[in-house]
Amino acid sequence: MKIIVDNTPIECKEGELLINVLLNNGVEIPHFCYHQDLGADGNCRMCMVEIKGQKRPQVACDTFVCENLEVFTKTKSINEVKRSILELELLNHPVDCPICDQAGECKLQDYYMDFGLYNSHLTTPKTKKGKAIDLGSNVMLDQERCVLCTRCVRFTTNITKTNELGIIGRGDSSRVAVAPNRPLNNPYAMNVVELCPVGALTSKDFRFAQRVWFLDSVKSVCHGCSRGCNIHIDYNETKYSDEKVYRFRSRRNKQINQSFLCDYGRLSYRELNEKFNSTSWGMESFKELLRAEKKVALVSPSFSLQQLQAVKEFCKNYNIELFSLPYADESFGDDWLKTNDTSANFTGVKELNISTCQDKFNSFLESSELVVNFDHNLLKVKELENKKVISFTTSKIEIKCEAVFAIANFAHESGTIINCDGIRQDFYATKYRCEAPRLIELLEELQ
Amino acid sequence: MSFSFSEENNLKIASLMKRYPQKKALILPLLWMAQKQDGYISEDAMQVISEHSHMPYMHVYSVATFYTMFRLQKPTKRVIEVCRTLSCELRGSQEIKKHLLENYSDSYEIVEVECMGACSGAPMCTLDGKYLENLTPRLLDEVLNAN
Repeated sequence: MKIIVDNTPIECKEGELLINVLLNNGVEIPHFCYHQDLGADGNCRMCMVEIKGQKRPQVACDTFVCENLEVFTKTKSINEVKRSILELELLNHPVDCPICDQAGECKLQDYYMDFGLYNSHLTTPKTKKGKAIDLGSNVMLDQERCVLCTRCVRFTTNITKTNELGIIGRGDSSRVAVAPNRPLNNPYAMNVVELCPVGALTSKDFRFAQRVWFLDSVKSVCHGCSRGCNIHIDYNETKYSDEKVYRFRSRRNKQINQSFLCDYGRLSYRELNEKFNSTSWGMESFKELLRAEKKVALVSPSFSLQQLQAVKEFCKNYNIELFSLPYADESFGDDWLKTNDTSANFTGVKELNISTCQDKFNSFLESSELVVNFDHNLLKVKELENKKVISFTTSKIEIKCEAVFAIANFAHESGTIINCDGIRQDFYATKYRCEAPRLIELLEELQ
Repeated sequence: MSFSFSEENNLKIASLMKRYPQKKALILPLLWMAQKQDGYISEDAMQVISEHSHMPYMHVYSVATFYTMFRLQKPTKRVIEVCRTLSCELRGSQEIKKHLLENYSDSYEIVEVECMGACSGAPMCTLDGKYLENLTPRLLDEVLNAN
């Protein structure tokens, strides 16, 4: 079936929501309340379009496509309609963009520049509402910046079903709020920050840390558990300081995480910024160590397929028994995104036929003189008696080792991982080079 | 929980439940009931109502804040509601309001409200929810000083 948008035919299915068709085909359509993973609500009226044969402009989020529908999104008269609606949305807005954390990724700002550009008609004082309200779970609320799109309310009502947020009051004084003594409290709460199209909900963790236009972004996959939620890593490198990761944002993937992330995963970016010491080692002494008779290696189940493959080759060359053990945490998973397997690529480990037998590993460990740890958490904290340990690591090691090689973490690596449902996903490295070498290059050097 | 509906109100709730096809329709009548019982709607009362109506607490709270006639704070003074609508205005409610504000605003909470349907006795006000009609400043003094 075909519809015609701004004189261009677009292929779509009968009965689809018009706004969805427009968004999926890259037609710019301003909107606040509609969200592809929250559905339509029809309260903001920003997505007005003209439809041939209809007397009045229609909202695209409540129009279903039908054969030969002719839609205009950019005519002069429809822009005038959008301008009027925007003026109402912005009526009581404090226009404090210079101190607002959302500036640069704010829909109000964008649309004002696209359709607004008017002088305020308001002669009475603006309505004052609450500012810098701590809602709990790292979420801060500024009620004056809110456009009452209710995305956050619909998220807590329909998605997490925890119902912490609601609209209170009415008319000019209606505002988003939590009930007294009932703060926002669920493991997915910080999604509301990302859902908020304006600067009303901001993250306590990120706000005032960095202006968004100074950040670079790279497509990656969260390594917090085996779900493999799609993310953007937002990072930058400023003068005289190393690259720093500032936040994870969700990247839409309909099959896996829609547009959402758990708070644990969202905040796990902090691990990527940790600094730790490594020993620098000459080739000779390293090879000396590898001459040991009985050797065992343990590889992290969060390594990418490429890294696992390189480790496998390396172990084969040096005749090292290679194992990988899963990270299991029964208390971590839930019935939505979080899984009990807190490693990123255990499916990949199994696919590469790396042994995962705990008993076998223990018996090999017992009889080995040398243990090579490829970033596995178990051997970062467990002290081993009478054994030499070589560690390749992305984080701090608590135990004594013969040698510690720092390697680049997943923000600085590109690779492929397979999630718990067998979906293969690529992730990419940030554009700055990490101080620590990439594992694959390091292993090539050590061969 | 420190709030529970009285015996009598529980009987009323039972008959209300039969009246509405959906449980959530109970929210408004129960909010009224709680306010009548305690003089205001406490957090505990809203919790009880959310259980009765099978709606989330936040929803009950939203509804309670939507209507300005629901009181969510315990009143510290007795409440006088003065009508500010047409009939009372024509019959001199301005004078009544002025008299109240000048003499009684320390000991009573004075609120202006819309028509309470007692236009035949305009100007009128309520004291603790009871109607006082055909008011004059003298009549007000008499009643308020007697109480």
